[in-house]
Amino acid sequence: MIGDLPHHVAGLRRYALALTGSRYEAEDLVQETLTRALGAAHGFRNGGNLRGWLFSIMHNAFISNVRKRRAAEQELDDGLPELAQPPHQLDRLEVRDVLAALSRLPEAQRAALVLIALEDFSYAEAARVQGIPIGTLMSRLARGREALRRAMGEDRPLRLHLVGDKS
Amino acid sequence: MIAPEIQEEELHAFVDGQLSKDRCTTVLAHLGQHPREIVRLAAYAAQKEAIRRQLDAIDMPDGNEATVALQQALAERMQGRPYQRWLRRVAAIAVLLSAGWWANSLYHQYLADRLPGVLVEAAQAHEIFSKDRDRPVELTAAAEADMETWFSSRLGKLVEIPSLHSLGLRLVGGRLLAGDDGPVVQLLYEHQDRHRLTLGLSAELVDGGTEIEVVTLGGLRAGYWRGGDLAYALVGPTTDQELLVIAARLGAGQPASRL
Repeated sequence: MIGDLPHHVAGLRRYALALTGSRYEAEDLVQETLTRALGAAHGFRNGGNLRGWLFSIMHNAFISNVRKRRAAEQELDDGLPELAQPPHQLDRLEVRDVLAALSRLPEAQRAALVLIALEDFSYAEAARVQGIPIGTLMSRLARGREALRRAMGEDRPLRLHLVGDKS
Repeated sequence: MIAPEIQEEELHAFVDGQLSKDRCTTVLAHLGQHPREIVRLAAYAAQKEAIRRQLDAIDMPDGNEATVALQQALAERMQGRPYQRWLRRVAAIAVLLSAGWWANSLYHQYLADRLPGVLVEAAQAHEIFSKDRDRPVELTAAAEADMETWFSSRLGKLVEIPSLHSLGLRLVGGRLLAGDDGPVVQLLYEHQDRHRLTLGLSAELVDGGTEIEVVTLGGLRAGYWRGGDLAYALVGPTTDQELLVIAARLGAGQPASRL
């Protein structure tokens, strides 16, 4: 199981990249996660869910960093701010469309979308990672996906397809 | 026939392959009557795939050496191997990383174990304690005699607390640190202009000579040398000049290449 660690760390790095939008910050977040994991390793039971444990640690580290940054700015809900944030630094990377649009979503929605897309987490597992009820995860997922679809203009060509289908 | 009500979240579960078989049948029947929904769900599925593909496509190196070291430490830790000396070192690195020392090449020397423990401990202690304006030390300067007795007994060598008054440095106090190579004494001094310096003392055997070796640790300058029975380290937000002057005052030789 511990042999999967490199694989999980690679996954953590991608998740961190999606959360922070910069390679540099992502690597920092990975290191913070591993450091926290080292400190908490005694509490991890053999045979436990290593991946879920690591992602939870990363999620908490990310939240606490965000909280520190925003403490003075706004009130927070049950985990992450739902308010739309200005586009963050993902633009710096040379990526297109989906990731750029993803970066403009509120962090809570972004986290939900990425966990489900990237790691194929079950809803229950993704909710545990984020420390939220499944219902909250589902609503974030739904809102995030719809926002992304609109951002990418995929709601517009709809009519054309339909006309073709129906005729 | 009226299809049982479909929840929005079931549509997502359908996209994610997390819907039970019987509900899948129901959703499929629903979709058959609502082609717009098919297009919407197809968009969700496409964006999910795109997120995965594009994140995968970003060139991410396997992680720098700090990440690799932490990862190895975690793997060993979780395999239940005995607590290893260098695990402590990794934890120390983590502290320094979070203090913004990351980009420094010293980190490599650090991992390679080429820097003396007294310097590493002194630098860490400085980073952690010197900013504390209320209680930066365990024992204050008033307990100087007690400190000398205590530190001497722990280091097994005679420790005299140097006075640096003539250089404008007032002793704040000291504490004992648990280094990899034995106990390390941290003495904290404060300059008239309020900047603080840590003098580290240990009884470890340090490679190198009695001349001060000056290095950069992030925003700090640091020096170390061997003198008598003790290894010395000086750390602080200071200039080379001040380091050299203090070190000279403490009996260190001057580097041939300087001054």
